[in-house]
Amino acid sequence: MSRHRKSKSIESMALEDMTFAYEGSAPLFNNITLQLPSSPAVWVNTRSGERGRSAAMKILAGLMLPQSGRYLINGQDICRMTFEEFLPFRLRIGYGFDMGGLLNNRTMYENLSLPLQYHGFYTNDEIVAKVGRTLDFFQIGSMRHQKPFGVSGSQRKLACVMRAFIHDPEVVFLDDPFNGLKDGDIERLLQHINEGYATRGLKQVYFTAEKTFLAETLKAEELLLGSHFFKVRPVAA
Amino acid sequence: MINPALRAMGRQVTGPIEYTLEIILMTYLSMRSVVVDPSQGLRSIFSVVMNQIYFTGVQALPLISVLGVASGSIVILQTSMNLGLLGGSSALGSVMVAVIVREIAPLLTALIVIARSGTAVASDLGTMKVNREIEAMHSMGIDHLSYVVFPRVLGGILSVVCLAIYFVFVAIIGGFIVTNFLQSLPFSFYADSLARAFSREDIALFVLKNLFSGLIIFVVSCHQGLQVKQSPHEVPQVTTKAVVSSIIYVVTFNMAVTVLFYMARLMGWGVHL
Repeated sequence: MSRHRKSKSIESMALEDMTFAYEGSAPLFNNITLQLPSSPAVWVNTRSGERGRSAAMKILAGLMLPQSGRYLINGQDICRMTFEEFLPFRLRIGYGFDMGGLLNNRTMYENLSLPLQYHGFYTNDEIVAKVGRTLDFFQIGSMRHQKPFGVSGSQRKLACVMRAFIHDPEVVFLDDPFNGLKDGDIERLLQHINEGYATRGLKQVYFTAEKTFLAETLKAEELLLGSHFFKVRPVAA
Repeated sequence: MINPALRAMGRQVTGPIEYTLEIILMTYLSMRSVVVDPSQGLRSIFSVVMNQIYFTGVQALPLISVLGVASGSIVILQTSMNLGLLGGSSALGSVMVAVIVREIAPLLTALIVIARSGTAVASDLGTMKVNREIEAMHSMGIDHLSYVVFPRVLGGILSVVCLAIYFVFVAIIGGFIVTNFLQSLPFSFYADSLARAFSREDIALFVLKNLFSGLIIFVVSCHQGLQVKQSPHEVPQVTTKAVVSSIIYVVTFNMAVTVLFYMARLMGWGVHL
């Protein structure tokens, strides 16, 4: 496996006095300080009816910046980093969107191979083999030449989730990954995650989900979000 | 406390300046993003550049051909008819260069590219923003400035320059052919008149106008497309703004260059301004 020469392993993640608000809205999170859990699976959750899961996921993945406070990865504040400075960490992070996110003018194969080609992670032959294996594993190999609008919603969702894992990241953030997937796809995704821990250097998966049993299946810790706290606790049975 | 009317007047002045600075900043950042790490996806960027050249340059050829032939014919017919009466037919080449090469080719090419490609780029980027494609690129460590903006700007500039050269070629040759259906114009006379009229300054002016028109159109269109926040309803709005802003900037730039060119020429002739 070739790894990008500039990527940096992620050892720790922590928030310090983090405050976040969408433009023109009241703050969603206020002065949150937390050392993020190191357990392999983290279920990001809110109390019933409360919002903020997607925002928290994007902040933790470095896709959105808080208005104030610090987000430390390996002790370095990524909020002050440029795109290029953050790139070494970014290359060890995967992100799956709850909706959208696939490039509409690219085929399913091109969507999955894009990060590998762009960063020169692998040779062309390796990319063909790796992406082909992944598409076949999730049983959408026959759709590889279709563009996103030519496949079903669940296949689009699946491709989006698969892409988060394609560059063998250490930490993956999946926003509502199981919603819209068929039972067989969920089983394969769980298997893919477990194989990731065992063979592909995957350290952690953060995910949001409505169903508690998935958190139990992945033996996840719960990261409960509130406007004034982020709290880590075992998943309630 | 500042009077609201005064504040509104102030915004009328600072708004365009702020916007222009944003455009310049985006131009700088998109170029910088490619230079900072050239190992990043040059192969992927190349394919986007080629797509942009195909859409902006190749697909616009029929329209440019029609406009080129029409413009060339009109200028040749009008010039030979009116100057012929005064015995100044030999100035045909000078008029062709002054009107077609220096003014009409850069301006009409830019307007066609704005109408075809500026709108397409703005709505394309706006839709990408709505569909979270830009955000998805960031999640993959792909800087949209190097992967989306820069190739479009580069492809756009190359296309505009090539289209304008093609416009001039078609206007000169096509115009001559069409004119010959209506009145006899010896080719040797026409070619000689044109050859005497061309100067290095004309080429410099032509290249300068088209390079910057391409840059302006595509940076403005990309900038507008990226202004979309969440809603698909914003896409047509930013597309309209991209067209309006591009036209204003391109026309102003062309006018300013022409004015400076003639001022420099007058000063070269010893006229004190």
